[in-house]
Amino acid sequence: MHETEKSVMRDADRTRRIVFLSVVVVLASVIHFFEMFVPPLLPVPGFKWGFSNFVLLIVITSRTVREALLVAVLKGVIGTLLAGRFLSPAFFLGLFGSISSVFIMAILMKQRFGLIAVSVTGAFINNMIQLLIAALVFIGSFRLFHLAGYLVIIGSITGFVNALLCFGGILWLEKTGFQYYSHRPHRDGRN
Amino acid sequence: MTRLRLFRVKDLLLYIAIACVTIGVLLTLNRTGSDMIIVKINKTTVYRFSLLEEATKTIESDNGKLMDVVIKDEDAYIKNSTCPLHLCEEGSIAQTGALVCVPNRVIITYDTDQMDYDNEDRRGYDLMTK
Repeated sequence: MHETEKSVMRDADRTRRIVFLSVVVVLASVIHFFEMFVPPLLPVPGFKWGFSNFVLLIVITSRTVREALLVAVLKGVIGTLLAGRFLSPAFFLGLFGSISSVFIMAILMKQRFGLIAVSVTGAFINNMIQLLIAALVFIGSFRLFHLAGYLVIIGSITGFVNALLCFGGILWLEKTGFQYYSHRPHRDGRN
Repeated sequence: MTRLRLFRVKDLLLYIAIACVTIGVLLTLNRTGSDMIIVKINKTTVYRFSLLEEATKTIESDNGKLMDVVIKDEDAYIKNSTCPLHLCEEGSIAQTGALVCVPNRVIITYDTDQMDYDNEDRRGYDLMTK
């Protein structure tokens, strides 16, 4: 009896995981997709506001880092595929940027930092990694870092908004009663 | 289970760290650049201009005029480009290190810090190492 109950639980968890991650990936991909068509404010390759990252933050704060990385990769792939920019410079920049961002944000959440600071730092790392790769691989000059100041400001705004969106998203998810979080005793970031 | 908070006191550490890093980066940037810029159309170097003489140069190819390059204050930027989106007209070469117009296949870079794959003559990445 006990064993059957345990296996039923696991199937339910798996189903919830598939459902949740699917919805989350689609949401992130669509936001990413539209962001690519907004005219760039700065002459940086692959410039994007970065609002699709609040989704990553939700997954980081309620589920595993592995799942957050999966979402990050998938949103980049699907978003750029749909926009016809798959494997473009912007794709690689976004990919490495968001993966690095996920790691940093996961560590910071585990260390019990506030959501806004985690999000802003994640955005900062995202932008810096993208600048670094763009300067080294695509442009061949570090002059691009002259724009670092403006990028940090824009990134901070995006990071702030993303934190709010994540918080609101979690509140909304709680209200639905859907068990979107993983089954772990500690629900702080790494989960 | 810890509570999901928007702000904690230790956040200030992060904000200060970010501020320090950006200030550090902006200060470390090398102000001097090369005096010459090269204009490549379709990967072949077509023009070479000096940043010291202020002028507005016209970039042309077999298809006619492509764009203007305005040289002013030892800096250069693209103007009046024939491309549809005019993304290349954003910013200047002192800011981004390179001016690129994808539809017209034009790349404008500094003379010394470009990577010349065709000539096997890697002159190095950037001016910070000099």
